[in-house]
Amino acid sequence: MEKVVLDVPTLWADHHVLKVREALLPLEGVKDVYASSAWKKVLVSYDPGKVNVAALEKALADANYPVGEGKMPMLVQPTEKRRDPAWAEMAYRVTETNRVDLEMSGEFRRY
Amino acid sequence: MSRYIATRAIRGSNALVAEAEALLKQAVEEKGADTPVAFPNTAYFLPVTFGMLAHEVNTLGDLEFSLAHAKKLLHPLPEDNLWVPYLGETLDSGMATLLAAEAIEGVRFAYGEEPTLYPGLELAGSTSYPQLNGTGHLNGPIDDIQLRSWGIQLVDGRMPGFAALVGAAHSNEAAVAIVRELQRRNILTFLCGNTNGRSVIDQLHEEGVEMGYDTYIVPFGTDTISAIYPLGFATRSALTFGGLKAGQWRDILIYNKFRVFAFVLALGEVDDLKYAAAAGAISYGFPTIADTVIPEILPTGVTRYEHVISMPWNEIEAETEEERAAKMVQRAIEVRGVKVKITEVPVPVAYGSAFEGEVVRRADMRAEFGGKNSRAFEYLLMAPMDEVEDGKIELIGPGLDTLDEGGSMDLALVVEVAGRKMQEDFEPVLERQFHYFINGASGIQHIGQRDITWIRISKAAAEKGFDLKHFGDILYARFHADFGAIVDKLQIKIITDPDLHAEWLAKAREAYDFRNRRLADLTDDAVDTFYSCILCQSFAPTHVCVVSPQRLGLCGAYNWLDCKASYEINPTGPNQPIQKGQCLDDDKGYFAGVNEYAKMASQGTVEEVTMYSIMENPMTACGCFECIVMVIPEANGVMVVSREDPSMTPAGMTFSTLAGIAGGGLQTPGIMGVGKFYLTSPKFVSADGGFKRIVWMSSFLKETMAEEFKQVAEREGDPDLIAKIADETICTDVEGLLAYLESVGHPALTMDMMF
Ligand code: SF4
Repeated sequence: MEKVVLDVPTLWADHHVLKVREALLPLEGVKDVYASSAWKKVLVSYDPGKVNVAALEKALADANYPVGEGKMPMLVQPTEKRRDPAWAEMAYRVTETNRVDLEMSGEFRRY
Repeated sequence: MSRYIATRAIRGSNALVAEAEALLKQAVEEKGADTPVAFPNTAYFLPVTFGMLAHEVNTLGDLEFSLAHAKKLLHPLPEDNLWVPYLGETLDSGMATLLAAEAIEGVRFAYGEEPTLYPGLELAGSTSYPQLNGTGHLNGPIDDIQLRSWGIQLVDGRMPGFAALVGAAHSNEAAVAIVRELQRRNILTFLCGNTNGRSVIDQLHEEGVEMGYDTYIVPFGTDTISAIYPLGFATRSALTFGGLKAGQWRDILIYNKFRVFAFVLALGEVDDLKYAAAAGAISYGFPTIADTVIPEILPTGVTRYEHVISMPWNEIEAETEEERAAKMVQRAIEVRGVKVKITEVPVPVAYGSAFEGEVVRRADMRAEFGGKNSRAFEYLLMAPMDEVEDGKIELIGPGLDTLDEGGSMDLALVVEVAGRKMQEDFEPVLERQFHYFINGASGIQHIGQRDITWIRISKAAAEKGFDLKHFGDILYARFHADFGAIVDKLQIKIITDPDLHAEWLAKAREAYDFRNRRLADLTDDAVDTFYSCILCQSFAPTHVCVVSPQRLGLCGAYNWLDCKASYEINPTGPNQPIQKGQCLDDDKGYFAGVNEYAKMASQGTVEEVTMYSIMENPMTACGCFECIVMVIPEANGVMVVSREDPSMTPAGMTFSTLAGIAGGGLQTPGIMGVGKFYLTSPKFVSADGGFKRIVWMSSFLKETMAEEFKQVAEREGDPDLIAKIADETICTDVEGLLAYLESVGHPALTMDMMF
């Protein structure tokens, strides 16, 4: 029995975990899969006589989880001038505490 | 604020919104923008989106707006060199994540991929999916029916709040222990997410824990995206009970912070999406407690106390998994600031109202009392102080050990109560509690009341040592804890001896008969005091129920005697006496005292209220009514829709939509929410013609209240009346209704015009 750890950058949430396991577990020779969305890595225990790493990688790529490729999509990038889209849109930033907040905030605001 | 958490939440939200966009684009291409998108049985569309943005999602195309808004809430990752407070960004990201998650669930519904199938799982009560033909499935979103029926318990504090468990516990044993701890405190348990493919749902299923609405454990889905459902539930609580309107996002969030006691338990590793979803929960004031090592957010602010707490499972000092679970749940409750009162009931099985809905099947049954083969009854009577020895519990006759497995025998539970403030009128009020008290024991099933009581003890409970005497222990502990103000002493006889059983049965029947006659005599005209109920004001601030002997509260849980007893128990509580005062209009039921009270208690929203009319100043409704009565002008009558009925009605709206009109603490002539037993009262809309005005009624009511309605029909002098009332199996539109009424000669057609 051998073990291999594969980097899968697109494995970032637990619904992907279900898909990755679905892709690997049916392969003959795959004994166990630990798919971690926290670390974006997959640990596969397999029988090298029946399956090899290339086959594992292919199965992952076919399921849209290529090893070592891709990254988490970031829709918003920091730019030189405008660091933050929401602030930019509102054009100003409120720094005062809202009255309703004060009224409802209870004991912890009375520092 | 933790930069680490901020980074991961921001990253998770960006990724999920991107994923949702891609998914939606594909869905629109494949199925078209007009493809309907709907969660089952709800009037709130996709509830988080609706509550936050006042945006009604009906089709795939409508989701584009939600995602466009979600995108606006996204932020870039914090920079390495410029450190800012991040809290605002994190909360925005949380909200963006929720909008995206809800959109994804919406798309899944459009594809028929929700609810998640789970072959072999039988839920004890769930949202209904007729199209699945009984295939095992997870619950998906909670429907409005269940939301409303839990409403009253959430209001009166019997149910302190909910816990969302995300991921998988350390072991199956730990999962069960955590859930049992929550159940013991009557906290609703919502399940979702997975860790390495295993979900806490799988763990509980493997351990044979019954899940479903009835056991307060609702499995939503096996990924974190389905954690949107608990937040949809929270949003709808604010809309349904808090009288808030869609789009009042700020008030909805604040409402949740102060009124909905929920928290998240993150079980197992926490990925970017889980951080992002936790940020969404924090916006609602719901903290997260993780059983792994993660950074914490300790200062208070958005949540009442800490925001994120790490409590690594293995480091919790305890001998057993149960103890660990107890400590974790206790900590979560402290962090959320929930007050939970637990009555210690000395029985060898788990105890809590979460077990009330449990069913003991014949195959799992150690013994039964009542039902087909034996008779069981319960009887509570008032006795003089010196004749009651407090805490005396006697078993008179053969015990459980004399019974074969699966056998049955006669049983009597006789409770004698003494108390300075006790009154004979409270006997039935207290006796009705037997059902809830006894049902609270895990493995015990209690059905019915009086001499049609039916109790089963499961094998599992008997193996743990549950015996007949324990019925006494339960009643003793609970009556003292819950009704201490009127019950000073009580003694309990558990009778299985045949002669004594027969003797007490005769006495009990005499008392039942007496009570029935007393109830029949108890009319609105015969008393000069009504009672108010403002229990629901914690949710609907202007709503008042005026409870009279012939009109119970609209939630069905409080009648006049209950309110009277409740006032004795707690003179400053939610039920206050209302002197009827001068009768201003006998027919419609205007009373000077009632008007005055309603005006005061509704903070001036309601000026006048009638007791017996739907057309003129009808009583207001909060959100927890059992049925809605609405005028159908074309038919010159009214229809009655029960909250269990998901079908279309002749008014062109389903219960859920109607509820939006009827609720909220406002008076709307022509529509009102009522308790279903008010339908049988001679005072039911008596000013507008009474029961004969009913032209349409949900078949659920017809079936479940067949006996009662039969008597009403006779009282009204038309024994066939019930058959003349249409239901959803006969017609769901006005044309069909009119045709049916004509064909059966319904009396409403020849009555005075309502308008
Ligand atoms: S009687 Fe009315 S106010 Fe009281 S709990 Fe029921 S619905 Fe709420």
